[in-house]
Amino acid sequence: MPQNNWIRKALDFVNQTSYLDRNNPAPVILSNSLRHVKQATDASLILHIEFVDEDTARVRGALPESYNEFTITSASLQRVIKSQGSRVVFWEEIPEAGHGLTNILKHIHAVVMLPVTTITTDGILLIGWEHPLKFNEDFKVCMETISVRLREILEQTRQLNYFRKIAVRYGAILHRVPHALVFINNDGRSGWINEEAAQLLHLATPGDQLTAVISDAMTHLRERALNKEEIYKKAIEVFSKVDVTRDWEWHFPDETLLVSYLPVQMPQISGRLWVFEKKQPIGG
Amino acid sequence: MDIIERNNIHVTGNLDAPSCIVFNAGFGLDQTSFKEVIPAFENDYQIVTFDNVSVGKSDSNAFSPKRYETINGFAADLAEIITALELNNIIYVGHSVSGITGMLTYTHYPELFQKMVLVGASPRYLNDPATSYIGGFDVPTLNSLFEAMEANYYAWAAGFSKLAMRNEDRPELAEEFAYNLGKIREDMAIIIARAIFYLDHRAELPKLKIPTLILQTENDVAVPPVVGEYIHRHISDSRLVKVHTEGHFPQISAPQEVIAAIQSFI
Repeated sequence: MPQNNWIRKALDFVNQTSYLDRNNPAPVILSNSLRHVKQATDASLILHIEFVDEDTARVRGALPESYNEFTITSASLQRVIKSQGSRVVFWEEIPEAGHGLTNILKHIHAVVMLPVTTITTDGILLIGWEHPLKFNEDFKVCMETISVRLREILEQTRQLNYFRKIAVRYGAILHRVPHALVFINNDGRSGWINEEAAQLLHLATPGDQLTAVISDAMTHLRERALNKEEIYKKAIEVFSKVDVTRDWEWHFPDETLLVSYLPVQMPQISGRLWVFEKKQPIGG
Repeated sequence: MDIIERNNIHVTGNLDAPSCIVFNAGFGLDQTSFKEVIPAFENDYQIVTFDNVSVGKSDSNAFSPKRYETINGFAADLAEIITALELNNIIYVGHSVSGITGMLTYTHYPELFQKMVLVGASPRYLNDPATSYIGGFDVPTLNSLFEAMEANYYAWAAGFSKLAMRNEDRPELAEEFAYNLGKIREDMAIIIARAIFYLDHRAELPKLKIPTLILQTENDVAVPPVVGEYIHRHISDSRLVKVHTEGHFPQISAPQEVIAAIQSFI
């Protein structure tokens, strides 16, 4: 049997998981990570187990997949993990009792349990082999490395989920604002418009847009205005200052828009926010 | 945790029999719901009955919102009961959602099961237009159901009991079910109902490789006839039998028919 080069396997695992495809949903990212663990370890059973309360754990990802969402009564397992000071647990032979995993491990000879706790979740990655396995120092280094990398992946995935939720929430709010909102980043490449702005600028889709596309659409809008010369002159004045401009009237044959121009200067982002609001007729 | 106490487990019948029948009642019912059915099998089988956490004489302190936010929590309890009692050669009779928890448990312990009886079970209650699946409920209907449960649980329980039990000529049946529903703690009932009505275990059906009997009643508010036919199509060794009674609880409204169907199957 060829000698396992565990250090090499650890490095391969880190390399394989170094690119986090942000377009993938979190379960897919985790599932891919488990496949890389399987590839690195040649294990028969891989379970990402999350402790959901003091007595219950749920399998969040598994190979074989039939264990997905499997529920485990985990009080004794949690005691085992705590007794090890949340270090990696190595079982060359599985204890007969005291862990609550007898049924799951009935065909398994050797087990490693890697604590994979994040800010919001507490859990382990259980790796099991159906054949006997001796855990030498290189093997232990490999497992520690996988454990560290998995914690990073889980944390990155958690943050990704968090920011996705924020993006969805604020996107939903801004799309429902009755004014047209146009934001142009100072990086000169990207911008964002809400649904009302997409209609006003005759752009097919709201959301992220190239700056050039938004600028073209804004130029066309300005060209349609009855007071386009006045707008053009004031624009030169406005752009030369960093002050907020409000109640700037753009007249069109069928309506008047009150335009606000708000420079945005924050540590993380800078740009220009345009707000177009329909002027209500007097008494309306 | 003492599983016997948690689930109020009883082992009766012929304790020397080589096979056992595990009866598991669906949402809102305890083990007494099979009381008219069980005597027909007591001489020839070990009989295992229990109460799922939240109903009957189960230990309500064992309820955990996280554990039972999906029905995998109940499947885990069932697996623990089976392994604690060292059961094998199991003929499993699962009513409603407990048919599905039995199926989930089977997928991890197939060697322990001999036959499966699904009484008014559904692998998914929500329609799925993407796959043309009819489960009987759409999202607005389920939203209304949960709004009603949260607004006035006891009023909901009374109304739902009549709808689910049917058999208007025997109002005492619906009254008893309403009484049982009313005994469940409201917060538990809502969490479990969500776990049930949003489950989707269609993918597990083809994994069931043991002889399976599907009992389908008429005019079942929770499980339309197409669901029984769907289950039948997706379990290779299955038999679909229509029980000539209305409502979701044939073991209560037509126990003799249920007994006859199970006897001829096993």
